[in-house]
Amino acid sequence: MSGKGKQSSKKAVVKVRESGKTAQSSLVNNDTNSETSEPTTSQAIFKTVDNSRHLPRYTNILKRSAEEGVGMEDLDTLQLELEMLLSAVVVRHRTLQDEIASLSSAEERRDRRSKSGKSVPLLKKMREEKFKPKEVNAKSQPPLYTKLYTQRAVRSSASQVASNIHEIGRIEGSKSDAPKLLLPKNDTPNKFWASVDPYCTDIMPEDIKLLEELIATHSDISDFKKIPPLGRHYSLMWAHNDLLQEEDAANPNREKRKNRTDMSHLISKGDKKTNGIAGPLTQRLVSALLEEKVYVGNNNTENKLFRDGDSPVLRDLTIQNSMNLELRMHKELVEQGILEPDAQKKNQEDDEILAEIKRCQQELSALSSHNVVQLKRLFNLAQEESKRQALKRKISNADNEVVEHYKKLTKAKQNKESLTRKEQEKAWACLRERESLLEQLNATK
Amino acid sequence: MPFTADVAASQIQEHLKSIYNLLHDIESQRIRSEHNLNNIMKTHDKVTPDDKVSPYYQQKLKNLYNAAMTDAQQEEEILRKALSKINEIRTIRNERRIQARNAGNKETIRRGALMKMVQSTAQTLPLYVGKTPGAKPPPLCGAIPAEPTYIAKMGDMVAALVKGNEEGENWILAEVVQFNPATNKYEVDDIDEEQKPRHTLSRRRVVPLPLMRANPETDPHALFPKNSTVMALYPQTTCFYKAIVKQLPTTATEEYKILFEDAAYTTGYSPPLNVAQRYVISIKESKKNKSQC
Repeated sequence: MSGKGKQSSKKAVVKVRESGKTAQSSLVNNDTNSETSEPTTSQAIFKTVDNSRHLPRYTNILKRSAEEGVGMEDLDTLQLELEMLLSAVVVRHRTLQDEIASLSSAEERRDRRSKSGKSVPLLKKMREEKFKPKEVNAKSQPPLYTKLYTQRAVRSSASQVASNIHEIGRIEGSKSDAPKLLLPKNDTPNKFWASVDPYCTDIMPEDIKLLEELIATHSDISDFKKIPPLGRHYSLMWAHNDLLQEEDAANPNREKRKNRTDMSHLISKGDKKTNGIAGPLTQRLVSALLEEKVYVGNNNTENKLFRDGDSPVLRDLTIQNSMNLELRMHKELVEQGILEPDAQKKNQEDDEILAEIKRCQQELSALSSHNVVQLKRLFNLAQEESKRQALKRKISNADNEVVEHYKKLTKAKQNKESLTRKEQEKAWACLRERESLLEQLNATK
Repeated sequence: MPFTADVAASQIQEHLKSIYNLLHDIESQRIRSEHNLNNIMKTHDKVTPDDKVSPYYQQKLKNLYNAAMTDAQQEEEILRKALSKINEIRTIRNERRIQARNAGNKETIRRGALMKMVQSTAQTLPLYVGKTPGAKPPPLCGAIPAEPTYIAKMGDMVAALVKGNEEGENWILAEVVQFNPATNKYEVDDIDEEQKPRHTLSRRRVVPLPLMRANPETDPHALFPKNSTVMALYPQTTCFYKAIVKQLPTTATEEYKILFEDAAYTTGYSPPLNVAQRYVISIKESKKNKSQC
């Protein structure tokens, strides 16, 4: 075996096969191209040429008659050609399967998008409906006002439901189109009309009842004008609290029962004192006397003066009534010339808290009277408007009747028949009624 | 199966007639498929101007694709039937040839005719086309090896490792005469009549050749990968040599491009040479490594 011999024999073979490759590859490309979109005319021409060029034995056998049939010498070439066809068919089959799979997946994606498109506006509206009650709560308005808003919210929600149904119908109808593009356009006017709807509806009897209730509630303000009585004085309260704190700090763990008894005893003492002292004048006098005696006590004998000083004050406090005590002291001071008769007025003016309470009450009463006036005005307007709306309904009914009579008249003219007198009188009556209703409506303006 | 000449001839004629009829069925089916493909192209032309494929056209294309797929399946069935008929005729002729040889009619074939026959049998080996992408090629299809328990049949072509006179051992192209289960050995005949005709070999020295070609378009995984080491028949010879796969075939009728190990070249390998799928097998490493020629 010589290398040279091998090489020389190879060259011719290689050339032949290269040409064969190009032919085969073009045929395969042709079959592959049949799956892709190409112009029909050139495709058909291309296929016809390919059959005769690349499947010569196959084409030849098809042209033969049944008697000639297939010869043994045809088998080798025919096998190769049939194998090419089989390979091309299987490739086409697989390509078509892939195309169908991709189309199915594309359809699934579109369905998901359309579903998500539907849900978005519904979610938005749910949020809006939830947001409104929060606003009402945030404003912290009286409950009666809340009732009014809730009623309107309910009504607007009802109208929203209707518009939602309408919109859903639109979305379903326009499935084949791109739903995302249409939704924003349709959504804005629906939102607008839904928000405006509460302001454009007719006045209902419930609204008028609500106004009547509001007027009644605001008119009755006698409870708010009462001034509560004075409570315990702050100094006594503070002293009481201090005593409790000291006892708790001194004996936190021991003798809880004794502490309670002591506390009750002290509380009873405090109550007695509180009952005794009623007027500011008495308090001031007592505090002044206590200060003087303490000062004197320091200079002289302590025990006797202190006890002697306490006893008459205690006697007076326990025996006499608080009002009488106040009056007696006032009289004595006036007689002695210390106070003038106008002192009571000054005392009243000194109480700043009472003055502030009175001022606030005046402001609230003014505001309440203003509210009552406005509510009454609104009530009157609502009543008038409800009457006018009733008239409008009657007018619309009258219009319908007039239109019906007109239709009858036109039919009679077409049929060349004359109406009876009764029918003519009815028609004229409808027209007169309509005119009278219109006059009433104009009068109410 | 013993065939008489008359019975074989009549069977072949019957098969030839059925092939003729099948060819006409194939042609009518192809015309129908072409009609559907034209419809698909028209629909594509309508869709192309628009950016989006509307649901209407999606559904229409889907229906057209399903129809075209059905046509393709039917066409495939008829083609497979015709090819199986051709294969049956080849089997009958092969049986006849074996019987003639057993009867003692030894014909002396010239080397040129022998080489031509070697090429022809390689080209007309049946083609395997898997129906689905996931279909698994059977053993002895392309590069898929035989199962360990496989026994080559009488008349099958194999690569056999035999001893030469002066040189070392060579892998040669041989034909199976018979297999002796008792001794677990093959008797094979060298294709080249000039040399010693018959060898008795153990199973380890016999590698069956593929019985089917793999289709690169549908089953590329059944081919030897690029740069893999194989045993390949050197063109115009009947000996197998160690080689590397340079390029895979791209169509069913194409051959491998093979680089043979050759010390005569500076790179150590020959320039690319074409070898049919039938004559490329996986390498068996021998202990002696005397496969060089």
